[in-house]
Amino acid sequence: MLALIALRNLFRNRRRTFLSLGIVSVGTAGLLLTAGFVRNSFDGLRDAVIQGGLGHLEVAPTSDIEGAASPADRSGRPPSFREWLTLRTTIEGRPHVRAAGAVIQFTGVATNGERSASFIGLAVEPDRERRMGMETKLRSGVNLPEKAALAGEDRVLLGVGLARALTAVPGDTIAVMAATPDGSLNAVDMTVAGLFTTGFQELDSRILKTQVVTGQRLLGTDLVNSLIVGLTETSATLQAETDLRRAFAGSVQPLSVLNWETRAPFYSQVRSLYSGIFAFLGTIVTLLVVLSISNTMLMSVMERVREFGALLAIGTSRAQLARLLIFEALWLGLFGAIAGSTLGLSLVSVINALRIDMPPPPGAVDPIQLTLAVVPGDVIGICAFMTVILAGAAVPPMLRVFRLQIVDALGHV
Amino acid sequence: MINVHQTLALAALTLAGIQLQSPDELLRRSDVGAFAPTSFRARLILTNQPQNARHEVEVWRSGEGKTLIRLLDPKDRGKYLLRLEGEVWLLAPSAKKPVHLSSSYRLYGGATLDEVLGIRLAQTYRVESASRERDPDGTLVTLELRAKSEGMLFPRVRYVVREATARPVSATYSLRSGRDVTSVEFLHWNESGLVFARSLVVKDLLRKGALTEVEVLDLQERAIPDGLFSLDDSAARRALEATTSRTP
Amino acid sequence: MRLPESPAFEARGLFKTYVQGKVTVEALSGVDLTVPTGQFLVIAGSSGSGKSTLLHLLGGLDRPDRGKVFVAGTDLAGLTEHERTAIRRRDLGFVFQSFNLVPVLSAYENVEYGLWLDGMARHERRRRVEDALEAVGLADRMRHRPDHLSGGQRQRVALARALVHEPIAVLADEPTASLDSRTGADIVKLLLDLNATRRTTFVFATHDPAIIARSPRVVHLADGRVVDERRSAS
Repeated sequence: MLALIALRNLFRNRRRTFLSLGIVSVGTAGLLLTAGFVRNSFDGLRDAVIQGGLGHLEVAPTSDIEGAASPADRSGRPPSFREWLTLRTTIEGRPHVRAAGAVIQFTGVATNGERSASFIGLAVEPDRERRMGMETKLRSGVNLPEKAALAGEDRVLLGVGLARALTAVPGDTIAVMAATPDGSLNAVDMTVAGLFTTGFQELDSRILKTQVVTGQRLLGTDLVNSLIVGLTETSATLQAETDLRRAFAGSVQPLSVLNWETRAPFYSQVRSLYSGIFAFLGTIVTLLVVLSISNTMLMSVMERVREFGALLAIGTSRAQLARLLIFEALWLGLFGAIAGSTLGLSLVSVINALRIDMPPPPGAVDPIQLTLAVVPGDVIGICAFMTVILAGAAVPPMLRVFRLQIVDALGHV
Repeated sequence: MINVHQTLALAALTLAGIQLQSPDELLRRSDVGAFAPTSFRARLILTNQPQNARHEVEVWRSGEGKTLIRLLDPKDRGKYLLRLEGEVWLLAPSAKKPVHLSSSYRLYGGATLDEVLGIRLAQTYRVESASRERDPDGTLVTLELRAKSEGMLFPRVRYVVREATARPVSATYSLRSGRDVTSVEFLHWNESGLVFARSLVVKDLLRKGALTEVEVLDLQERAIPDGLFSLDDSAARRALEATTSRTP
Repeated sequence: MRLPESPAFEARGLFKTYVQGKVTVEALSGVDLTVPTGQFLVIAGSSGSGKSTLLHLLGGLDRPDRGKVFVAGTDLAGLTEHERTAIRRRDLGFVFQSFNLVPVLSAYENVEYGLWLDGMARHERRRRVEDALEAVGLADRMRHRPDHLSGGQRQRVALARALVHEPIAVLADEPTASLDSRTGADIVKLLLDLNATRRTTFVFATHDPAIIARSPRVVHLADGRVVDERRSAS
């Protein structure tokens, strides 16, 4: 009955109730839009990290992983993965695996004869990259060929910044020099197939990409650093990781399996930072809504002092009156949250349809399209959150009721 | 027969001769960079520790400014390091053009070219102070050298020379901060015919345990064709490869 | 209907003081009163005489500064607020000058409210509510909300609410003050009838001479003291 009274009490002052509902709706819609932005940002960043070349998993010799404080520490280590060809076939036969491709990481100096620039090099298997859904963002020229290059026909992709430093365009020949695993040097002429961007300016000025066979030719080895594994769905990462670990438990060369999150501390850091920011903003929005509703409810209680006095007089306990107020707040929260969800979802549709471009984040090259990603779980969660948190709005009016003296309340005008 | 007086006089003259040898004179006489002939060909074994990695190279030198180092390891056949007037280039069979390297490039990650080939100390350094001490083998003179010009990688060198033979015992190179970074110990000398350091040890004082043992297998004074030092024309070098591949 | 052996109310040496701004008001100064069970008592007096204060103390709505109040033999002084609330809910009924019905509940629901507070079963609640509304003559208006009822009808609903749980006593503070004289007279007649038929103790606070005249017992208060008491033969 208290819930019924509370519900009916909402409509005693319709204007005030609609205003309150409006506040809660806007607050809910705001949280929903924020959640949608956050989810899309994280999903986008995750996909960019995975599709950008990291893949879902990496299989590498344990000796390479151990002793490296971070993934960045591993760059420049000579290739040491021996049975990679056999293991690649094994991996591609496992469930959830779309493809696996070898990778060699190396550094060195590239030169066009007049200008030189140091680089970070990646030797990959282009056909497998494409099967894993990894796209190279070409700015000019063509991608690396899928067929392995013969000696003297080596191709290379240059980051746009690196190409600028070397004044290289597609079709030019540059000499790429690197230190070999035994400490010697080697240089190989490569034809620039195309220029590409990683999405990050700093990396674009250093990055160079070629085929695994070319990298092996340059370094004088037939080994690779690791195998990158692309899965059919990201949600299967943990399962696939466990499966591969089990599969390689007895391998001759001890191997480690790393998931993308471990290899992308940047992602975790950005996620933590953004989560903190969004939590802070969300807290402010919620506080504003709660305080506003609390003030409104307090006004409503002041108008009903005599009524509360009478209820107390006829045997209603203060706790029951408090429950009445909580119910009023919960009803406001529920209706406001439902209205806000409807409003929020409508706004999400509109914003996504508008395809608004946002400026690129620091260090990035391309603008990002403003897209909000909302899932049913978010809607339900935010509705529930707003409904429940609004119970907090009932606290100040509850305290007022607890302090009521029955006789004074009965005589209240 | 030499009588006592003559012996004493000879001894006095000898002593006087030693005392009259100035530090600058000692530096000039012991300058390891000056020992090698102007134009020569040499074969060296470089052994890098702690990896115990052994590499064989051939050095062709003509004058001060031109040095060609041919890498003889099977994996490195056809590769050369060419130093012209202080600039270092890599010439690789799979690259048509030479690739410029840093002048402080370390051969197989070990010693630099200067450390292997020797610096002309008397030309580039002056003696700041000298001190003497004795060891079981005689008197050692420690010459504190300072670079004559600003901008030298090693502004200071501590050069220890055996006074009697004017042979360097060790050279320690320091950076501008005073930190010792490299030491070279001269172990054995070829005294018959050409005088040169037959074996020496180059230590990297910044990396614990890292050193390069240099062994000079042979050194021949000879005229070196200029074509070997051409950046653009590799014909002479190809001919050299062809010659040596035919030679067992 | 419970008829305890003890008097419905017993007040001994009641003192009560209020502070209004900077002024201290002695609302009651040593009031003694006993109300036997089943009695119809009017506490009369002008405004400020202390009649409402006495009513509040009898109903456990407030605590005296000095003195004791007994409800059906129970000393209110030793009770916690929770226990006093329970007594009001179970043993007492209240009727107010301005009705004080819950505006969002129908007549039926207003009367049912107290029974719901006590945790009574639905079917039992229904029976009692219908009986109570029948007793006050509003059986045909039970679905109407207060804003669709006249003043007299609202007061009847309030009366039904006060009686539905068969209390020991009903306390009414100026129940006819907001009504016209005819309606007020009807209400008083109803109260007298209920008192006669149900033997419910009624304690009225009023300054209305018409009601005072019809009451079998009247206690006059002035300046917080009992100054006169009249009992009629009926």
